[in-house]
Amino acid sequence: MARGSSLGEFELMVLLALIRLEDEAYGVPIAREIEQCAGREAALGSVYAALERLESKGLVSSRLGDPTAERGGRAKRFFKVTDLGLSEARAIRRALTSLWNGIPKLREQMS
Amino acid sequence: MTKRRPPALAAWLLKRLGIADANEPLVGDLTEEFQNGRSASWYWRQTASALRRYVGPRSVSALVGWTAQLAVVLAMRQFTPTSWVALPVGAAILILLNPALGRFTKRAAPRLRLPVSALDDFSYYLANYLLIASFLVPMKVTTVLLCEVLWFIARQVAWVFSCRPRHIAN
Repeated sequence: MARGSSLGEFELMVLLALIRLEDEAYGVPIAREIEQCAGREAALGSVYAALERLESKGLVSSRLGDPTAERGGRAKRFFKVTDLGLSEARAIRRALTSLWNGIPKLREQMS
Repeated sequence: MTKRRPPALAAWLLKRLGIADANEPLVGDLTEEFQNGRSASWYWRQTASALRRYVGPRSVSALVGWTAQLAVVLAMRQFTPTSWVALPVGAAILILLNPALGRFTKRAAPRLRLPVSALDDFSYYLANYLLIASFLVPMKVTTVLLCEVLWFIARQVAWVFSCRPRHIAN
């Protein structure tokens, strides 16, 4: 895990949603992905706040698209995961899997 | 497709409390989702969440900005001595112009391929010029330009105190 870049639960969900979407994605599909996978409504304001924190940690990058009429003339902001973001996600997965494997009772209940 | 109008008060709050400036793509996403069939209650929930996230730092920023602009208005009176009545007249012109300017910027931004916030700034300066003109006193061009520069500086003060970046680098 990168030093000093600990992620909160929602930040991790946003990062994973962005990885699942593969190409550049903006707020709406990211929020939908979280809703579908986690079964809870994701506020767009929270999604953007998490994305801004991830960007400040260097885990995602963003660019502004062109404004469109159906969005009231407002531009989309496209995000993509950086190499550092991918390696951070892998490191978290390894750490969490290792921790889960050390809890046999919970593992039996889940299966 | 018939265009639906988001709840007017929620849209007004997003604009007036600075969310639309602080995070233009977020407001665009809300508009897009609402046009795609989301309910008014969904729009309100999202607005409330956005206000919780953004209104704190933006409020401080707006307060500082308005204070600086008030200082500029007071300084302008030194250049253009006039009656205090001119100030509410100018403010009334700004308030009356705001909705029309908002509609203009929303329509023009996609055609010009510019962010709405850029055109908002342009219309803001236009409104400022009208405010200055409402002082109803003959002014030299250099005085007007000086006032515009002062307005510009005052406008930027808000962003210095803002906690969030306005434009996103690639």
